[in-house]
Amino acid sequence: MIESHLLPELFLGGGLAAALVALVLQTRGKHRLKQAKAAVEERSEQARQRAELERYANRAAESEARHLVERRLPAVVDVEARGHPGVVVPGLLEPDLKGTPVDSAYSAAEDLVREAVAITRESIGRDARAGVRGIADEAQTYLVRLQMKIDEELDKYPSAGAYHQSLTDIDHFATRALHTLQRLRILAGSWPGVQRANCTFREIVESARGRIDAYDRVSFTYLPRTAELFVEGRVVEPVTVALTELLNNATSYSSDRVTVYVQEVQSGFSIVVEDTGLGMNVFQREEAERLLRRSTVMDVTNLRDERQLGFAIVGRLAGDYGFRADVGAPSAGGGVKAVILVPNALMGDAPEDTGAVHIGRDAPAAPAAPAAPAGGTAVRPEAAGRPRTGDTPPAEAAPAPAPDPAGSRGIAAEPPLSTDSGLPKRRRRSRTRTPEGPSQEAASDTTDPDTLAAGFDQMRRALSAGYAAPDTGGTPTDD
Amino acid sequence: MVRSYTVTGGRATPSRTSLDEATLLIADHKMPLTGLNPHAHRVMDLCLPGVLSVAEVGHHLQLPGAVTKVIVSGLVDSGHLVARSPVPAAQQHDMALLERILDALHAL
Repeated sequence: MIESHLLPELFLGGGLAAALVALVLQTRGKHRLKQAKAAVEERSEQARQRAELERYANRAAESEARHLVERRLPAVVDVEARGHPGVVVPGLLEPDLKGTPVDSAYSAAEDLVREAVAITRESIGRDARAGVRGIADEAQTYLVRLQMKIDEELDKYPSAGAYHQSLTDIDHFATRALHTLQRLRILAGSWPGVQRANCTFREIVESARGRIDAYDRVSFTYLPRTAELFVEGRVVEPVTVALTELLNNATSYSSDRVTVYVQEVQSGFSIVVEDTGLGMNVFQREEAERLLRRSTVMDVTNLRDERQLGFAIVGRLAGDYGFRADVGAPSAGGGVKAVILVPNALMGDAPEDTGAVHIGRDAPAAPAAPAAPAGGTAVRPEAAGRPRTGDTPPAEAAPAPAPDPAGSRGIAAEPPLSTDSGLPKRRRRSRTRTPEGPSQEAASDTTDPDTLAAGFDQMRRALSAGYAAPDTGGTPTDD
Repeated sequence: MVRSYTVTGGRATPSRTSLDEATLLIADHKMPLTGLNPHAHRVMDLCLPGVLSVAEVGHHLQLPGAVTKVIVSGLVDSGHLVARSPVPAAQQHDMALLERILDALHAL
């Protein structure tokens, strides 16, 4: 009987248990399902985010590429190829891309454009400069020949006339054309194209004066003490061209007279050009100083103003040849004071031939000419005090590269033909000395033949002394 | 190096037509040299110790004759130089005098 009522209970219990188990199983299954769903959802969310990010990155890269082509590279071309001033090359459009491969690739593209422009410009510049040099050489040769022809014609017809006037006018144009060609050469990175012997400051200033338009407005304060000193031949033409540029500026920017003088300074000699024009303001002066300091090969496209061109040429020459140019100091007249400083190392000796001409001229005129050089060296204190070896001439005995200013100033009382430092000195003759050489007074119709004969005898002696003198007294040293 | 027009200030014809290659130049010692242009200064330097002809001055300064004349005539105008005509030509002398001179020359 128990069995009979137990049976349904058992069924019930079993059913319950089964239901419980099923419930548990279901709950567990549901839970697993939910977990799986969440995982799937998370993955899809991540995928969406990644897609979003990639889309954003693509958009950024695309707009950056457009920015490169439309803004950055044109700006680079403007700056590098067209040379526009004040153009700023923009950076990245999207700051997020900084440091990414996109950034470095675009920078590399930009650099490549710059490099291409630079290489092209350099090669074109080099070819153009070589071409300009060749043509300038040829034109310069013809102009120099023209000048030689002019000199020949001037010599051929010594009686001056209208023909001479025309010749000198033509000469002025030829000289200016030559200077223009020299500017061109220097702009093209070449040397001035002319090699000279050692020249005096006088010759340099006079030569430079003749190369400008308004040369009659330039007044050269001639002081024989400094103006007759010789500059080394290697730098004669560069200094002359530089001085021409400064004189050109001075006469162009001032309508009044321009003064040139040579003065001795501590480290050498300076050629000073002073005008009374408007002068330069602070910015112009700074720009001029900058150009005068720069000595790189010039790029014609960077020069806009005529005055700047002049300063750039001066700066280039000064840098190449070791002299200095300066426009910093204000002029006494309110204008510009431009200075070319030739250091002592660039000073030279008198060339052999012209020295002989000067001294040969002096010898017959001075009564005591043959004795003068010997006497002159004997009274020199260092020559008397120091034993002479005999084989060293005085000029080589003291080859001091930097002459001491006191020594060269102190020779005024008893001037030897060269200073202690080896610089040539012209013999200054006393203004009060009366001529004692041959005179023309003996020849006259009324004179007695005997006195006439005596006069001729005197003349013969004077002439033979005169002809003998250039051989004996023709050299500056008494060796 | 220095062009001739620079020396003369662009003038090619001298202010005096009387100057000749053989004209003798005598410097005035009392005239001041300051303010003279370089070439005039050098002409004075050459002439101060004695008498020189125009041709000699031109040779020493290495200048063409016409240019020398322009400088010299300027200096004559300013009183720095006195120009003296060269010794008169020989045909103005009478024959007898010339013979006496010849004898005297032989006797030298």
